[in-house]
Amino acid sequence: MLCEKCGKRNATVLYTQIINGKKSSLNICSQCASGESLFDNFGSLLSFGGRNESGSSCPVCGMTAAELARKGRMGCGSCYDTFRIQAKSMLRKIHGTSVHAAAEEKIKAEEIKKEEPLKEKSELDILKEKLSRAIADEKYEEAAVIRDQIKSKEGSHHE
Amino acid sequence: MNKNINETDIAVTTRIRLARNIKKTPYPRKMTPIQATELIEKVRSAFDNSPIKDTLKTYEISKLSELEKKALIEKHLISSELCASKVPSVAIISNDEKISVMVNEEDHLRIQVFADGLDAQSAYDTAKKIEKLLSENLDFDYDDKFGYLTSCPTNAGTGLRASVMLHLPAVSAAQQVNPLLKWAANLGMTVRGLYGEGSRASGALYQLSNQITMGVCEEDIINRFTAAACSLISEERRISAQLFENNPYEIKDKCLRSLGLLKNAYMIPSSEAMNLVSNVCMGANAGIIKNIDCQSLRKAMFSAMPATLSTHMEKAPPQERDIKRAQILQEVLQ
Ligand SMILES: [Zn+2]
Ligand SMILES: [Zn+2]
Repeated sequence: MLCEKCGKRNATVLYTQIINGKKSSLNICSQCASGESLFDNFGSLLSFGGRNESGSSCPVCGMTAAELARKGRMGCGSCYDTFRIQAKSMLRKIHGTSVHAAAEEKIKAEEIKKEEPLKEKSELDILKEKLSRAIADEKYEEAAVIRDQIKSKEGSHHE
Repeated sequence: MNKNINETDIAVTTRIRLARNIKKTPYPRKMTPIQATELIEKVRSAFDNSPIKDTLKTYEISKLSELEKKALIEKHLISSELCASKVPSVAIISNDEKISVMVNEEDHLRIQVFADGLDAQSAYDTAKKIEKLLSENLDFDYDDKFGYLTSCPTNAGTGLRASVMLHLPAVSAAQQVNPLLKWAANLGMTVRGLYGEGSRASGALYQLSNQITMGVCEEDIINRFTAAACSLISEERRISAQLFENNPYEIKDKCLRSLGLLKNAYMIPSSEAMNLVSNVCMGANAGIIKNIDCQSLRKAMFSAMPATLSTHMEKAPPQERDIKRAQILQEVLQ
């Protein structure tokens, strides 16, 4: 399958994003996944997953997605909510993460709680979750490895 | 780790800055003058009900002369961004100039605390106290996932920026600044020259600050920042020892020559003053120059910066400032 972003190379990475509860996936090549070309500017990010963000404006300060991309600054605290995907991408670029340290601990604690019923899930489901987490964290090399594992698992099911 | 490290021979001043914003209020660039004035009133009344009330003075930026603004910027008490604010803005500054709270800068609040030498911990503790005091009157914007929200995402999370001004004459003379920039970037820190352009900062004064404010808790930021500053300080000492070992005569001559100029010159322009003070302090740290208090000498130098000096001698020609500067520095050396 060809990369759905550049259409030139073979797709090796599955890029998943959840927007307003809707999951959307894209098969892309490792070069496009290596970061720069995927997030080279906010515009490409918007045309990519945040289509719903690009048309909206902040209800409190009137900031638009285009203005935010141009200035790189928020107009008010609600901008972080209105342009959550854009905000996350900006924060990750600057800080390597988009999660505040105090929140990180809380999320970890919640994950531990959630993990118990998870045991009933198949290995494949766990791998798929790992994959989307790796992609969300922009760990594309790790994602490619997990994807290969999924492929070989899926392959063995079909045999 | 020793929480209060001072190292005043190399570390000049530490600054802690907390950025905070108020819920449901546009940031200064998008807020109305009425909202801006309301916020200033809230901040002022929070301080008016506090025990430190009598130690603080409010500076309304629109009422300051250009020179007064420049002098406050020179002392790092306010920023040019605060002066450029389109809405009413103020700085609330303590008499000892250790605390400065800017209202309606890029963020609603910028709480700044200064400490002598390298001492991020005590400056941070003070900044937290001021934050707590203000939080009784103000509702700070905090997102469960993003932490404290700020106008520029570079400050989001903790809103905490720690910086220290370091005097690095040996690192600078040995042209070791560029490798340090890389080293700092790997640690999530930045180093930049404070005065002058290009790679060689005049007076060999550099600023180290943390770049990352998210994903690391406040305590870790302070500890990592302090550790990075300590490594820079020991690097300066190591290279300095090397320089004095490799060219003992040239460096000794440079330090003593600078002392001679500083002691005897009739006029000293500010950039020359910075370089002379830098050389004298390097000599003092290496034990070549005795009985010099570098901390007082640097303080005198900063008090004799152009705008700060001019506020005391209105409309004097530049030559008279240079004469006054020489006198101020020579007083410390006596
Ligand atoms: Zn591609
Ligand atoms: Zn907004």
